[in-house]
This record gives sequence, structure tokens and C-alpha cells, in this order.
Amino acid sequence: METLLQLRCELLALGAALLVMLADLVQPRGSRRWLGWFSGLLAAAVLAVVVDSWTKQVQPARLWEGAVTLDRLGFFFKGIFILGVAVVSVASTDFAARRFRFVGEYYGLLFLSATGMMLMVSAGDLLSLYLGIELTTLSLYALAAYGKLSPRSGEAGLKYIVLGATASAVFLFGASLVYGVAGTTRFAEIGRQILPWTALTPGLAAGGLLVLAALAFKIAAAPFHMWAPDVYQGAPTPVTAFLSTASKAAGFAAIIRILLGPMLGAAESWITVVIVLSSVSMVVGNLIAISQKDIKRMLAYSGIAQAGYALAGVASSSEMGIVATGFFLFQYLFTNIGAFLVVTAVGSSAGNDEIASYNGLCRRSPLLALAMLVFLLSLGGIPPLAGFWGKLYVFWAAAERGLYGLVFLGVLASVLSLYYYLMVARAMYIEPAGRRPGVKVGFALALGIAVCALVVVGLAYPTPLLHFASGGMWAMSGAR
Amino acid sequence: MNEPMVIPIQAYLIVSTLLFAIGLMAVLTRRNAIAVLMGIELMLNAANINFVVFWRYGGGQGMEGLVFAITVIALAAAEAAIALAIILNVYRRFKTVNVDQINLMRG
Repeated sequence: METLLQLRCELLALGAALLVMLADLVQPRGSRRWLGWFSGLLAAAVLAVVVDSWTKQVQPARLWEGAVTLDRLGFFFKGIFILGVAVVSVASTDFAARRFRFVGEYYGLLFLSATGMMLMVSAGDLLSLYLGIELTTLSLYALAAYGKLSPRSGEAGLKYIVLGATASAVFLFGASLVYGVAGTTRFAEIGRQILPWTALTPGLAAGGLLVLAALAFKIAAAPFHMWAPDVYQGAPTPVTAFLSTASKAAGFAAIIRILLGPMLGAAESWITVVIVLSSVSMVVGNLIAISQKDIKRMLAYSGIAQAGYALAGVASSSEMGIVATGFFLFQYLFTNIGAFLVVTAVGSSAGNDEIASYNGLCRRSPLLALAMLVFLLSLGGIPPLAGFWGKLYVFWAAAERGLYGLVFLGVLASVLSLYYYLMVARAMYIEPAGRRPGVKVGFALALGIAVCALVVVGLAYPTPLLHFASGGMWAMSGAR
Repeated sequence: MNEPMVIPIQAYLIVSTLLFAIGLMAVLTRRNAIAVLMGIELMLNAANINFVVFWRYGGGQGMEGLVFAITVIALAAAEAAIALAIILNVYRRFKTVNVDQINLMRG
């Protein structure tokens, strides 16, 4: 019982999932808009428990002989996931009521995938990590295919599950090799076996590489990014918002748990791999994003590039790198969800997601255009917005480690990325509107966009959040 | 009485690696979505063989390998259920399960 209470965040998220689906049955017909607000409220309640747990968890703790690790880094990430659920579920109230036949399950699946992400970040064992990954992705597959009447949504779901299940199988094969060489699946014991040598044995290196490849798939880092553009474009837009941020953060949490936990002793061996992943993602993501006509697809490639920036923080393999990556992912959550919520609003009005349908938005819906501009500038890393601080810290951490080449490439890539972010700004502010009507935004969606914009602007003063993120200083000692 | 013949661990690993490679080939080359799913199942089973073999030959401390294998079997079933549901829905929209023809988005 005592042990189960320690898992209260996961259990509450699971309970919220069941409660939302039950609440859906209360009112069998008619508008179920209140369900979005209800699940937003539940998410806020879980968030309160997460913050409370963060405050109480000063020292890291291990449950079930280390199968689950609880520390401040974990609670920081759990906060990111549940915030994502809160914002997305409130903001998709109208969207879900209009487009989906089954509304309760939609919110339920959001909570279920958040439960899985929480399990991923608490994992102290390959088995609990695998369970977390599967719970997360199984819910996300269903969510990506949730627009049952839209062929694109079905295609997105099919592509996601085929490639995602393959990645899971690769993860498992790698995990089995690690188990074979190390004789255990506990991170702490694997770490103890690695520490004596700086070089990995071939079996452990092969297993670790396969596991890392599967996790690189989850964060959509190049060259494991092929699924992302199609899935992001085809999935219902609020789902894309959640998928591109929370699930990416969960993948990073798992990577940090493994690489900066048991594998820290072998940092010299894996750091090159992470640098390659990071630089290829930055180059490929930014270059292909330039030629995109569809804004969801463009944001997908931009997300690949952003994964590259965050990987620079991981490559620094320092405590500062962990804090920087956590901060980066937090601001990315609000920046990218905000951008996708604007895409939801414009897409619902225009009927498509072409960048051309943003023409003259500043005259049609000035506030919406302003919010989009804030998100785009933050993605591009313009000071003093949140995105600037996110990039500054990850590159700073990488520079402290002496990875100047990577930092140089990263800065170059961000300058390049401004081109395609500003293309959308140009469409909004310079192109003529033509006959396009103004965009009507419902109250819930407007609230979601406003909250995201406020956070992005408010993080111009990043110190309080850094305090929360750096509570995870214990992470590295805790994982061993 | 003769000792029972002991199969060396390498034999199992060769089988499991081959199985994994065959599964991966099926995922990459088959055009039928159901056949692709079968390839994924092969890959999962290859990992399962590894877990059980490493458990058996690893001195038998703890039950991690066995527990892992059983968990994978259960989750593979869940994954297949969702995948088949998605394929069914895709079939209703596209009237085909050929992954080459299910390609509205590109670029």
C-alpha cells in the first residue's frame, strides 16, 4: 500500500482516464462539450499532485528493488506530460465534439498515454520502460487514427503503428541482448557492470545501439524520422499537438534515464552516436522543412530539427545538459501545442492546412495571427521568447562539454530555420487576404492558445522554471 | 547412461537473429499490411527466444527473462488488436490493404 501510494501520479492519471470514459456514459446523446472541460479539470488535479510530489521528493527513491525510480527529474517530466493533456483536452473541446463520434474515449486515451509516459520516465528497469513505451504508443496509435471518417487519419494510424511496432521490436531485441550480456534488466545493476570499463563489450554495445535507435524513433530524430511527417499531417490536429510534444518529451526522458543513468560510465562510447543523431536531425529537419507547402508537414520537419537541438543537451552528458533538455522540452510543449492549436483554428475554417490559407490572417483575425507569430518566433529562437532560452541552455551545456562543432551547426541551423518560420509570418502579415473570411475561434480553443502564448512570453523570465527543472540534479546519482 | 545432448547457446542465437532478420525483411518488402504485421510478430518472437535462452543459460538467477517474454506475448496481442482495428478502418476508406496504395500524403 505504501509503495502504491508512491505511484500516486500514475494511478491518478489512470483513474482519470477511466473516470472520463465513465462520465461519457452519463449523457448518451447530445453535445458532450463539458467532457473536455471535465478532463482538463482532472488533469489540473493530477498536476497539483505531481507538483506536490516534486516538493516532497527531495531524495530519489526506488520501488520494487529498483524497477521504478522516483526523483525530481521524473516529476518535472510528469508535469510536462499532464500539462500537455490539460491544454490539449480543453482546447480540443469543440474539435472533438464536432469531428469525433466517441468523445469520452478520446480524452481517456490522452490520459492513458500520459500514464504510459509517466511510467516511462519512472522506469528503473528495461521491463518497466518497455511497459511504459507500449502503453504510451498503443494509445497514440489509436489517437492518430481517431478521425475515423478521414482517410488521411487512417493512413496516419496505419503508418504509425507499422513503424512504431517495428521500433518496439527493435527495442526488445536490443533489450534482450543487454539482458544476455548483463544478466539483469535493472538499470542500476547494468550500470554497475559498465562502470569498470570505459569501452563497452560488443554485445552490450549492439544491444544499447538497438535500444537507442528505437528511442530515437520515438523522439523523431533523423534518420529515424520517416514516420513523423505523414503521421503529423494525417492525424487530427489536436492529437498532432499532443503527439509532437508530450510523446517527444517522454522519449527524451527515457533516453536521459538510460544514457545518463546506467550508460553514463560508457559516455565516451555513445556520445558520438548522439552527436551524429543531433546534427543529422538539425540538418535534415531544417532543409526539408523549407520546401513544405502544408503547415502540419512543415511543423513536423521543424519538430525533427527541434529534437536535434534537444539532443545537443543530451550529448553534453552533464547535469546542466539534463536541466537544459528538460527546460527545452517544457517550452517546446507550449510553443508547439500553441502553434498546432492555431493550425486547428485556421484549418477548421479554411478546410485545409496549406500555408496559403494563412494569407492576410493579420487583417482577418489579428489576435490569432499575433499568437501564431509569437509561436513561430519562439520556435525560431528569437529572444526574449521561451524558445530562445531553451536553445541557449542546450547549446551552452554542449559548449561546456567542448562540443563546439555541434553548437556551431546548431546556431547555423536555427538561422536557416528562421526562413521557413518567417515564410508563414510573411503569408500572415504581407500577403493579401483575398476573399478568405475571418477565422472563428471557440472560447475553449482561444483559451488554450492564450495560455500557450502567455507561457511562451512569460518564460522570458526563465528562473522559476529552471529551479523546478534543476531539482532533477539528483537524477544521475539516483539512477545508479 | 549418456548425458543429454546440450545444444550450445550460439545455435539459439543464430536462429533468433535469423528470425529477426526475416521479420525485418517482411516489414520492409511486403506490400500487404497484414503480412507486414506478421513480420513484426516474427521480430517480437525473435526477441522472446533471446530472453528465454539468456534466462536458461544465464545461471538462472531471477525470473526476469521469463517475465519479460510473457509480458511481450501479452503486449504483442494488444498491439495486434489495435493494428487490426486500424487496418479494418483503413480498408473501409481505401478498399485495399496494400500499403503502396494507401499513400495520400507525400512531400
